[in-house]
Amino acid sequence: MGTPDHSHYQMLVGHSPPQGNAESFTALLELPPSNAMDLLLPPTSVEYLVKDEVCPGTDSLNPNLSQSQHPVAGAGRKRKEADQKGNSAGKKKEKKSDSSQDGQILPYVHVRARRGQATDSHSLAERARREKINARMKFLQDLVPGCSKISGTTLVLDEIINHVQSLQQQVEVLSMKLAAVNSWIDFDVDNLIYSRLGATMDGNFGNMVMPTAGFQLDGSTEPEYLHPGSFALELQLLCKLRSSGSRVTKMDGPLIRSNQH
Amino acid sequence: MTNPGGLRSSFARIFLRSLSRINSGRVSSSRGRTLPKHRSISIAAYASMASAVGTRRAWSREVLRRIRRGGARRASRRTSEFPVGRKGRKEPGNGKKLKKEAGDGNEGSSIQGMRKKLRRLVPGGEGMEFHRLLAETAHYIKCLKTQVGVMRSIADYYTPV
Repeated sequence: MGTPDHSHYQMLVGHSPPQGNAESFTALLELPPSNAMDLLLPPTSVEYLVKDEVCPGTDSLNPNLSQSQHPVAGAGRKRKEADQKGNSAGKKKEKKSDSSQDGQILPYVHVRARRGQATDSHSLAERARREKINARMKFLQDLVPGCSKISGTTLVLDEIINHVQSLQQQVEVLSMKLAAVNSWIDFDVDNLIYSRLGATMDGNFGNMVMPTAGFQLDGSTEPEYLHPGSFALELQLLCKLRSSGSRVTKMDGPLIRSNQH
Repeated sequence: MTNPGGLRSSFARIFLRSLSRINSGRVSSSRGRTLPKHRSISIAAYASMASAVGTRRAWSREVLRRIRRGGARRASRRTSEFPVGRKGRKEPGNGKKLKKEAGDGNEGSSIQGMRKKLRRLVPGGEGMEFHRLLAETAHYIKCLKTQVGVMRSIADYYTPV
């Protein structure tokens, strides 16, 4: 078996481009659960190797993975390879394939049993699911503030539920607050801003200057250095409008900066 | 952590656009009577969240579905008012593993009750297995956070200083 864990791991991560953005951590969220778990759980030394619940007919990912995982047809067939029985407690690493998963198709379920635990297919599947759930719960724990210290699934779940509820309530409160605003500036200008907003928001705008070249304010036209790294980019643009108190005339100019969103 | 900048700007863009439409009175409501303003702003918030995410996530698909269905029901995310068992939703029969927390010492209702609660809270959470629900919850929380941040900045900007 040698080193397959690590190479698997890398190949797995390498072969699994995130579906959405390219940012690494977002990728974690977008990845199918098995990959997320692989990233969460450290690769370990092998204890027992049990193959279970094979999903035949897998293709593209297989050639590289096949060195240590032999695609076996037929569910329920197990094979134990007793390896270096180093640590007794043994951490676990698993790759799963579910038909219900979104995203990639991994060959099959590959669960390592802990020492002294039952290895029939039912409890293995159970354990695999439980591990999945636990990994996701861990992830959620990191996401919800103040949850990482809590131990015990009930409390964590409770915390998560409270957090979701509080966020939803905040949406309601803020929408009431927004509804109460009665001094809306004319929003036609937004279409001007968004194209810039999309273009510059993702990049760095450390030295961005207010685009007076782009559109002309009837009133003041003093340039202003926009606040890098804060969302107030767009709001500062609006701020200029408000202070000038007049409409914006759009000029034909290089309004849109480099990359248009 | 994740890059909330990209997400945030898309949320902001869509949300502000819909805000401007609401304020200029151009909101097309499929309902006979008009919604109170805060209600339509709240719907716009979820709508912009879901549109920015697209159909990649189960919760966003569900939100978009509910909003489009709008109509006689309240197009809000409050799942408790919605009938369970929509089209194309499979039964959550195997979603709850009763013996999951066997070793935890937590007796009885609490885990089950909380799972159900979470399912109801997260849109689209009714028909999926628990581990999938947790993944959806994580993404949902992230987007909610971003959306709240966007709304807060806008509100702070517009409150009279």
